[in-house]
Amino acid sequence: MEVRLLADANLKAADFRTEIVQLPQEPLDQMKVAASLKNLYATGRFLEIAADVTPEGSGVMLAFRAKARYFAGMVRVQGAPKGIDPAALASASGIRLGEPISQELLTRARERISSALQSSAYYQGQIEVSQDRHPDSGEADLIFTLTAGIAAHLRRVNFTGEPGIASAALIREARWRAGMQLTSARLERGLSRLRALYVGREHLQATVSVEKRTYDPRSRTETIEVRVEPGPDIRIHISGARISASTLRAILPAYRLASADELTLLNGEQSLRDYFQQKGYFQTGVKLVQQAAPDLKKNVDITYAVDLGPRGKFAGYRFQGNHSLAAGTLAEAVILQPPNRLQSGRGRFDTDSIERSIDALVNLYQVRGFAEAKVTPALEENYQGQAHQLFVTFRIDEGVQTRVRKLTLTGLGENDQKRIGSSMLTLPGKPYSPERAHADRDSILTYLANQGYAQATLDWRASEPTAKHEVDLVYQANAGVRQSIKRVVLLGNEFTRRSVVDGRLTIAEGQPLNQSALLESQQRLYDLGLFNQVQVSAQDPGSPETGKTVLVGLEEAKRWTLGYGGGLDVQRLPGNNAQGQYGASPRVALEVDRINLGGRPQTYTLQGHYSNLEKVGSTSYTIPNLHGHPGLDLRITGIADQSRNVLTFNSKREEVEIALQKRYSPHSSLLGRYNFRHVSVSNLQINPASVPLLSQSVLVATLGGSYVNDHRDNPVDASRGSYSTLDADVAWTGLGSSADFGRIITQNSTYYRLGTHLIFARNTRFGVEPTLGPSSSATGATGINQILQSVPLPERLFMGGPDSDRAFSLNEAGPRDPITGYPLGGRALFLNQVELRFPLEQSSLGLVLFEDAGNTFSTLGVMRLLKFSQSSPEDFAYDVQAAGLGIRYRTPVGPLRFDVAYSPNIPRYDACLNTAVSVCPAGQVEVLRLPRFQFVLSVGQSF
Amino acid sequence: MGTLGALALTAPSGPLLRPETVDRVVASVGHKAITASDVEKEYRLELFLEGKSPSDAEPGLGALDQVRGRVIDRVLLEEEVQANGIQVAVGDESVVRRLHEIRDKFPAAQAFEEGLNAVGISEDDLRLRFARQAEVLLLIDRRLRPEATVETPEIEAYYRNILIPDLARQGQKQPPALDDVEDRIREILVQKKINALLEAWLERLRTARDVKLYGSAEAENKS
Repeated sequence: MEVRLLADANLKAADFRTEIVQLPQEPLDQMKVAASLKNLYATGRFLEIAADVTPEGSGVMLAFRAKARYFAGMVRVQGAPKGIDPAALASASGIRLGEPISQELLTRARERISSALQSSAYYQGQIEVSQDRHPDSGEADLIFTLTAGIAAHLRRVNFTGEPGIASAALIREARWRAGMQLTSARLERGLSRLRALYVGREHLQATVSVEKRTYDPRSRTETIEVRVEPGPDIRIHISGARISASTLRAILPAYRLASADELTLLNGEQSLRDYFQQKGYFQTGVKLVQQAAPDLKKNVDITYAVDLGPRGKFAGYRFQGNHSLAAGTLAEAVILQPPNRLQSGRGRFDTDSIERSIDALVNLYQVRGFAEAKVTPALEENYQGQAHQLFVTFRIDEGVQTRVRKLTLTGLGENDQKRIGSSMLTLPGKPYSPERAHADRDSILTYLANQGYAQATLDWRASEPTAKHEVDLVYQANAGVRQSIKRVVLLGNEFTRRSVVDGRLTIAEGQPLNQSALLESQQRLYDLGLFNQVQVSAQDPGSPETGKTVLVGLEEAKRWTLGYGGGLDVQRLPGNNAQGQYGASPRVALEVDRINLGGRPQTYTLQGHYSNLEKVGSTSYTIPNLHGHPGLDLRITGIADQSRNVLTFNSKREEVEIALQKRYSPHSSLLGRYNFRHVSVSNLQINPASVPLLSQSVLVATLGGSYVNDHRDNPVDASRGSYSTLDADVAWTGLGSSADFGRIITQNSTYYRLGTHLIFARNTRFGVEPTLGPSSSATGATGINQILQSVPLPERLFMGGPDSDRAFSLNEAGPRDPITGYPLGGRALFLNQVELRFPLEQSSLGLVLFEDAGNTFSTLGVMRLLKFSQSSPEDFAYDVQAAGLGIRYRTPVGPLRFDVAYSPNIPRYDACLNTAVSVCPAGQVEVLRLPRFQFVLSVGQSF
Repeated sequence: MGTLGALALTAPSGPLLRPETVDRVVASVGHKAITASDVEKEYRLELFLEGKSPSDAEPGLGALDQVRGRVIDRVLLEEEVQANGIQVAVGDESVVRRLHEIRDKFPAAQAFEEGLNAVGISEDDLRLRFARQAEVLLLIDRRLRPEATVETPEIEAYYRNILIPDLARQGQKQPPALDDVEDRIREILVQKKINALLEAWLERLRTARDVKLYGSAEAENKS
């Protein structure tokens, strides 16, 4: 007898050796045929299956005739109308990668896509679905082809219910116009505006919803019916205490959640208690009093009756009787808060917090095996003799610690036991608590799941404690069936090389099916930046098959991206005086990115912007994870730049940089770079005859590096954490440079949240440019040459402007040319900034108070950080200070910033009436002063 | 061995012979397949349990489709039994009693044995089957009986509207007092409610466990 498998996919009887129990050359057995049918069906690979027998020679041929089941591969949508993302429609289909394909699945998917189209006013959409089957893998890509038709236009909006506001006003508020295509986004935005309108009118329970959308196919228009139920006019009052209306709106959940159900109103009691307790009224009592007006449906008055009690201060707490746990560990469990050193206030204290702190402390002990631990509070109400100054002592009776005497682990192999055992919390001799046993159970189950035993179960039990407070623990595991990876199938990688994807996968054929590895692979593929969507999933996850096919579904991102934009550049430009004059120019920007170069995760970028003030073009080529080293990136950049950001000159720069960056963690990275640039200056405002070096082009070749350590909670608007950088470069003639000098710039910023509405931020920057070896200008240099020494003008340190010392306009700090008065930059700089930032929780606005201090110095030797006044117009070696006020407006790319700075010691400087001379004749020297006020408009915090 | 064995032994040779379907999957519960041979075997077993001879019975039109429905229900309920950890031993008194009841339906032990052979199962298989049935009954009782509550007005209505007219039709002029039959009526009504609840539960299980039917349980198998 011969056994065959006949299926409409590349499936052979040999692939199902364990399932087909009716063997060739054996007598035909009905039971075995039935068992084979069941086993084959259980694999999930077949939809229908029958056993056929054909007489052949002296025996028979048994054929399992099957219709193969296909599984969902990539879902694609073609013909999506403009404005609707095909990927969003594919997602709306609800089809998951690897899901068995059935008629019901496809019908459901079509209905969902149709519904998504209708929500954007496409009512006549036709949806066809076809399958692109891959018989080798058993996957079928599902292609939904849409004929969306013409979108319906809005004809009328009918309001039902009791809107109480004229329909025309509501339509205006919702911004729905007759004739417009009412997309789901427009509809939702409109509904949301209407809800806000009613909530603003104290109708906290208002509901606004679409009841019906009716399409008229003849006119291709739709009419929508919107039901409005404003609910009662709810007015909330406070008696017994004063609180502003805006604060009330900020703290009461009824306002925040736009809801006035009983639970929300009751929660308001706690919110008010919290608010007043923060203010030091620790015994505050709040009671909700609901006073309904005669017409309960229309008007409801809510009053919270507040009894403040005496105002006190919570001085702190201490622990007594703790021998096994340090006070620092115990303090983590305490909810009570003494006043912060940096924050004035009265601390946080209430009796409920004491109870919760005691529970947390007891729990802390119990988890560590002290089952009978007790904590008793003692409250001093007039601590250190001061009335209403509170202090709590937590008296702790730890009791005896229960430990594990014997641990038995059954149902696992010896190797698994060894691996698990080493990391268990409940090893013999260690403390015992049910929580620790639970934690061990979870870690064993996680370990087993990572070994492919996804259905593993584990029971544990502990004996009664002995007289010596010891328990015996037994963990009994039932690992169940182990699932392993039979093969890995890639889908959707049209351009990306398979080797690139393989290199990111942490799964492989033959390995156990490990959910953690599937997730890790998905994350690593996302990290490549080549894909919009990555799905990694086992085929037919619900099937009991032990050898699983793992599908890696990739949706490649667009390889070309074109970005463009426009704006206005405003800055001070060289003019009749050394302080410059404000100039403006339109600005256009263009950026072209090409990712997935050659099917690899490499990126080419070409970008530029053009204005009368600055013309910049740059190109870069980036190779992340160089040679498979994670976190190691190579970047080659070329820049051509013509800018006027220093008043003294216009610079023209052509630059090439090769940088190798190693990311050690999400927070820290190290970068090494070689930089070669040609810089020339033109439109020099100082006398070139006196400084011949400056009028020459300069070649600078530097070798350097940077270290960045970034622990900010939000890089564009930090409220906590720190940010440190160190940049060091050496320009050396041996590298092709025309000057020898070094540059070190280091910066450190820290951010502290002192309260809901208060952040303290500080920043310190220090830079120095030492000369290395002799140079022509240094030898016998006098006057301005002495100032400049061997560091070419465009390479010198400049400071001032929105992102540095706000006492100065852009790059205006430091030494100045004694003839023209224009800034010359320096070879050392120091900047210290402190800010108090007041973000307003309920709006996008915020305020900032700041103080900047620092300057650019001709050399490190003349840096005087504690000198705050200028001794003469030629003296620039002192700390220039500025204090000011700023407004911030939160945007997705960082806060929009407007700062006003006032400097009490802004420098005076000399300028010669005749700028053609190298030494100003007596009587022609004019003493000028930089403006005391500076105005800054920028995007992003200053640091 | 049944049909298949006979076919294998008598199959003539020749290149033009057409394949014959000897078994196929006719339904599934999740990944668990139910074959045509399962349905046929169940049909014969049902006959046997009624005390009839399964060997000479030819299923009527649609009979196998009905049997398939019952097999699906049995699979669904047995899965629930397993999930709820309910166990009845094969030596349980209810199992033994049920076996005796079946034996008593046959005139002699030999007829009983012949019936078993015709179904293709042993006595031990039958005991096991009864134990599984007892588990299902236990599950239904535990799960559905608490929901099948009967109020006094319902009992009174049944007594008044159904029992008395029934007895009158049977010629019994003096019906029993309500108090005497209240417990029996209550149990009848409880059973009715349990049946209705069971049907609704099975419907939910069929949807949840992805029950699929493949053609008729009869069509190809009879060809």
